[in-house]
Formats: sequence, C-alpha cells, structure tokens
Amino acid sequence: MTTLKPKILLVEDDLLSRLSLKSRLEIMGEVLEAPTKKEAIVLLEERSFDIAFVDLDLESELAGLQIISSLKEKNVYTVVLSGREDERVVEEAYLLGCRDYLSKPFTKSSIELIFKKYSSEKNKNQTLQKLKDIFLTNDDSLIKELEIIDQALLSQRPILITGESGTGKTFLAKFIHELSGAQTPFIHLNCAEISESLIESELFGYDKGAFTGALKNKKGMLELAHGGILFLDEVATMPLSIQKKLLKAIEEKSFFPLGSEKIVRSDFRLISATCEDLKFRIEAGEFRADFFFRIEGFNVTLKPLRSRKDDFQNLINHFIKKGERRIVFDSKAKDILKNYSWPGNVRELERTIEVLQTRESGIVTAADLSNLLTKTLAKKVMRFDLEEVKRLGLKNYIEELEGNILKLALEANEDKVRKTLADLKLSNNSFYRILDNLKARESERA
Amino acid sequence: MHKKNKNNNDQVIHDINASISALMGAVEVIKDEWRSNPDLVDRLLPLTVDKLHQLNAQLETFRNQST
Repeated sequence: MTTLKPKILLVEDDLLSRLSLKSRLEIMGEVLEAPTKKEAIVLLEERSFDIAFVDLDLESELAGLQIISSLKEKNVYTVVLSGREDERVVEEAYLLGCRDYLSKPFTKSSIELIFKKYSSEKNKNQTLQKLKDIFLTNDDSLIKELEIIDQALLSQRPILITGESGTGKTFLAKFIHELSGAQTPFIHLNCAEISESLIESELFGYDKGAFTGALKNKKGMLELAHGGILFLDEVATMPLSIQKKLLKAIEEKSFFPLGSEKIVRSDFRLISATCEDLKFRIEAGEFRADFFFRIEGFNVTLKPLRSRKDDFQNLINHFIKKGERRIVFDSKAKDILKNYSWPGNVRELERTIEVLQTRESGIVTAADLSNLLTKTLAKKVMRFDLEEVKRLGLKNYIEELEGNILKLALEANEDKVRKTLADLKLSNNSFYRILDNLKARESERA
Repeated sequence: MHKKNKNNNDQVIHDINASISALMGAVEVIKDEWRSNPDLVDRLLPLTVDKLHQLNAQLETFRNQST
C-alpha cells in the first residue's frame, strides 16, 4: 500500500474554520488553502491534488457546489463541508461528484475516517488482489466474500469468519491484522484448546492469590489485546458462563481480573471464527444469542475446498512449488484428488502434498493416495457389513465402529480432544474407553 | 415582503449555526493542541474571540428580527 502523504486542497472562506481544519489536515498530508472559489480554481490548474475539502457555502450560499465538477474532472477525491442537513443539497453534491459529506462541526475522528475511506478506495484493488493472491482463488463467490474484508478495514466493527476446518480462517484473521496495523497487538485464543476452568483466567487475567496456583499477577488476553485485535478461534466451544462475562467486558470496554478490585479498561477489535452453525447452537441452547449479536458484524464465509474446483490446480501447483521436490500425479491419482471430499480442506491438501514429496517415487499413484487420504476409512465407517457383524459379533463390531469414528473425528479436528468431545457429544470417560479399546485392537493386530 | 423577511431570517439562522460550528471546531482544536502546539493556539484564540463577538451580533439580529 502507498505510504506517500496525500496533497490536500482546503477551500474554506471563514478564517477560523480554515485554520482549525488545516491544523487537523496537516497531520494527514500536505495542505494548500484557498479562501475563495477563484483561488481554488487557480490552484487546481497549477497543481495536482489527491483530496479536497470544500465548504458548501463558500462566499455565498451553496457556491461550493460550483467547483465540485471541476474537482471530479481532475479525479480529486472531494469532501463537502457543511452544517446543512437538507437532503436535496446532499443529493446534489453527490450527483455532482463529491465522495463524502462532512457535517460541521467536524471532529478529529470524523476526519480520520474520511482519510481511511480515501486510502481504502485508493488501495481497494490492491487489497482485493492481495487477498486473491494469498487465497489462490479465481472463484467468484469466494472473491465476493473476500470483498467484505475491504469494507471491514474501514471500521472497528467485529468480524465473524465461518468455514470448515482448514479453509483459512486463522490465516484471514492474521491478514486483517497485518492490514489494520501490524504493530498493534494480535492476541489469539483457541477456545477449543483450553479447558473450561482455565479459559476465564486466560481471558481476564488475575491477581496474585486469586486462586490456588495464582502466585503472581497475570495480565489477561483482553488487556493484552488493547488497541489491537482479539481473535477468538473456535468460538462456538466457549462455555456459556464465559460468553456472558465476555459480552459485558466487550460492551463496557472494561472488566475486573479474577480476584481484583481494580477495573481494567480495554478497547480492541474482535475477530471470531467458527466451523459451526452458531444459529443452530443458539437454538440448542449451547450459544448465547446476545453474545452472537455482539460478535457478528462483518460476516465472511470461506468455502470448503471441494467447492473450489477451479482453484484446485493452482493450489496443488502452489504447494508443490513451496515444497522441495517436484512431483507429478498419474491420471487415476488426479481423479482421486479431484473427487475426494477434503474434509480438512486446504490444510489437508497442503499436508498431503508435503507427505507425497517425501516418498521415493516422484510419480504419485492411486495406491499412494488411498493410504494417505481418509476416504477409505470414511467408506469403512459408512458401510454396514452384515457378514462382518456375524464374524466379529455385534459387541466387537460396534466397538470397532466407535473406534473408527473417533479416529476420523480426531483427524478432522487435528487431534483436538475438546473439540472432538463436543462434536461427538461424548463424555471424557466414554472418549478414553473407546480410545483404549482402539489402541488394544491395533496392538493385537500388530 | 414577507418572503424577503423569511429569507433574511433563514440567512441569519444559517449564519448563527455556521458561527457556532466554527467555534466548536476551534475549541476542539484548542483542547487537543494547547499543550503541544501553543503557536497554533495563539493564532486561534483571537480569531475565536472575534467569532464570539460575531455570534453575539448575529444573535442580536435574530432577536430583533423576531420581535
């Protein structure tokens, strides 16, 4: 993105207003003043400007409207200044070509927002191209989702990213942070990786002695995120009690660490991610509706890999190039790759290519793939075989089926136990019973 | 005549609002800059005082027009 300071034309006849506004604008760029319409036209002919602020009632009523078209012809981003709220006047200004309308009295933050919009528009194509490049996509519907990020960069409203595991949710959150200001904090909490008892202390922090084991004061993630971004990954797994407390902290921009009587203030941008249908969770009473309305703002959905057929070859080429070894696929292997469901999405594709690049042969066959991909296992799980039931007995068949389902679920969740427990609605005891049986059977076979 | 009076009245109201906006903008800048940019504030203050007198005159005009 451009870092050159913009050239600003300020057209305002009132000396006090002009001086006040100039002092604000000088922080943003190089400012030239024109107290009259005539002087503005002269300056416009002599120099080039990036952005112009024009008083609507310059010298006489609505005289400022007369120079908007000249500014538009020169591709100057024009902002009209006025205390008027008459809709017809606002409409006329926009029709003539102004890009924004700043009501007087203006504040520092309203000027900053104008410049943000101006920069965003100037860089719009660059941002979207960057997103297309990093996601390696020409898929129209995915691009449409990514365009939302451009809008999101102009505001501090929360962002909710949904998509299956491995579609790039964390990747996107980090990219947003990079564009918003990489020097600000980026605090990442994966709600599925942390136990329910620890999540509260991690988020809110604590004072020494707040509980057994609190040997010194610790800042929580909310405090560390101040001025930056708090990224809540797998937000659907956040316990209801924590959702309530976090909701209050976000709304009030303040909270009390555990065991503390001293309030901590923190203002950050919230980005959340989930692979689940939160509305379904709300209906099931597992997610708070008020918390949902707080975390959604700009909603972006990342498509699964199996729906991005046109991007497939580009992604494969990219990961092969990224690795250290060139490999090729025979025709049967190519078919398997294309028809496979990729439950782990882009992450699974990347991992698959990495593993294939370590094999002896540079030519990947169907046999190489069938061992690697979970399709075979999934088929085994989905197929009911009466002969197999008779051979093993129902009890053993069911135990084997449970083990295979657990194995699939763990693989899809990258071995994250809490998420797997939630997905399969299993207790800890049941989980470890099934796991022990699975390990025992695998040892017998070995 | 009535239309002309109404137009004059509208203009005075517009001028009053413009003066108030200018004053609010200037005071906001003074609030933010008085410590770090005293030169700017030295330039703004007399203009702000002048604007206050101007506003006073405009309000006087408005009051006279209303009676």
